[in-house]
Amino acid sequence: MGASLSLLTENGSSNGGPSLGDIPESCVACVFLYLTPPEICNLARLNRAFRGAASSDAVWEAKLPSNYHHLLGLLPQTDGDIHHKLSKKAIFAILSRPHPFDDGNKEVWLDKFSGRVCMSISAKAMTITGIEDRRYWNWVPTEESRFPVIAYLQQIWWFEVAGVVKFPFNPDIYTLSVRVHLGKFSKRLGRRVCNFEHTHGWDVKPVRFELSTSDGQQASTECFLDDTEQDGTNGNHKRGCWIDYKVGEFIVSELDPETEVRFSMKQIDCTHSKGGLCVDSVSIIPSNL
Amino acid sequence: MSSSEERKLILKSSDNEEFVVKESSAVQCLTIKNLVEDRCVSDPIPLANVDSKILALVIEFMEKHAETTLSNSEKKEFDVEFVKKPFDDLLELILAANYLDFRELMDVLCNTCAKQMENWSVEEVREKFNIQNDYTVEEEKAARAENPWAFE
Repeated sequence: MGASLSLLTENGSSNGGPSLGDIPESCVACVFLYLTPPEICNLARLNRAFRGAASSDAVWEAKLPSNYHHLLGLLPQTDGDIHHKLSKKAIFAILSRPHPFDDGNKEVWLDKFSGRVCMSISAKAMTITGIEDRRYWNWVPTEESRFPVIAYLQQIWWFEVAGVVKFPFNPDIYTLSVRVHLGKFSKRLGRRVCNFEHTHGWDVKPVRFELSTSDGQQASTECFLDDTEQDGTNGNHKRGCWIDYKVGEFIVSELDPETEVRFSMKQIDCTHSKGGLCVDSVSIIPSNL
Repeated sequence: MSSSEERKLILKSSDNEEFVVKESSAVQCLTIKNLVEDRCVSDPIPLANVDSKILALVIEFMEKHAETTLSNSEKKEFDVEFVKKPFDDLLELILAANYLDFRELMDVLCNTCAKQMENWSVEEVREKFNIQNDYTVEEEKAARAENPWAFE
């Protein structure tokens, strides 16, 4: 900022007052601080000067999370030298795409509107009781997930899925959710078809979802994954579609270099069996995104 | 009460109108603050790039925000009403705030400007704000093709 008066264009507006085109690049950059990255990229098409302001490091540094260096460090194919040569805008563009880590079983990205950190954890990264027994669980390839496979439960008594992630989350408030689907889905003649032959038991007792962090935060919730009325005169809204069950929230503060989050979902009442459920992933997304 | 609270400055607009302001209010503008600290204050201080209409508005904002008796929410309420002005005035105020290096005013104005520009297409922004398109046809094509990641 400051008293720089280099004007973007020499053409005043026809009505005598200034036009947005007369505003110095530093002022445009200041306006951009209040716009989202997609909006900035959109306005970069206005004229040369806007394109210049839209590339300014000052604007994009403000959009990146404070610990973006850690995120860059996750990318396998880049090395430290390249990072220095990249503009902040290029760094934002790279980080706004999902990046796999931990053997491809987790993905992290920046929400391109807010620059906040988001993560998805595949069922493959989780500890699933009975996963090795094909009478209970199977890995099913799918196109309906960010990940190549989902875990399909045919039938079990002890239902327990748990996981942990340790990551340098940016200070923020995060919501953890679990993505599941009642029934098995497939494509027949180009149409999506659902099969509920194994789906049972989820209306008997609720599933218990829990999360906890290394600094002592906890949240839990209980939900029936299925409705008791399954013939559905009103339609059973819980079947045949992906549902994200919100487990709870946790806070990451400035002081946490790394946060460890544990989560689980359980239904271990062994007096009844349950099955016919797909487990896809756990997502950790900033609250109120 | 220290003597600097009573000290006054005279600001002169580009059209030669003079405004008396308290030094304690005026130093919110870093350009003026630097002049005061470097003891380069002439009497009056000429502001060649700000006309009287805009300077009066800047001073209104400046004095409101310098009032220690007002709460932050009262100041915010004032800000909300202050920015309800024709867009041309807002642009002139942005230019003045930039020239005077008045961060608080700049932030409020840029935020308002941004809100008005949200969700408009490039053509709409160009039309409403009379921005000259200085791209060649090739440059325009290139600009449209840039940043595909933002539109995925």
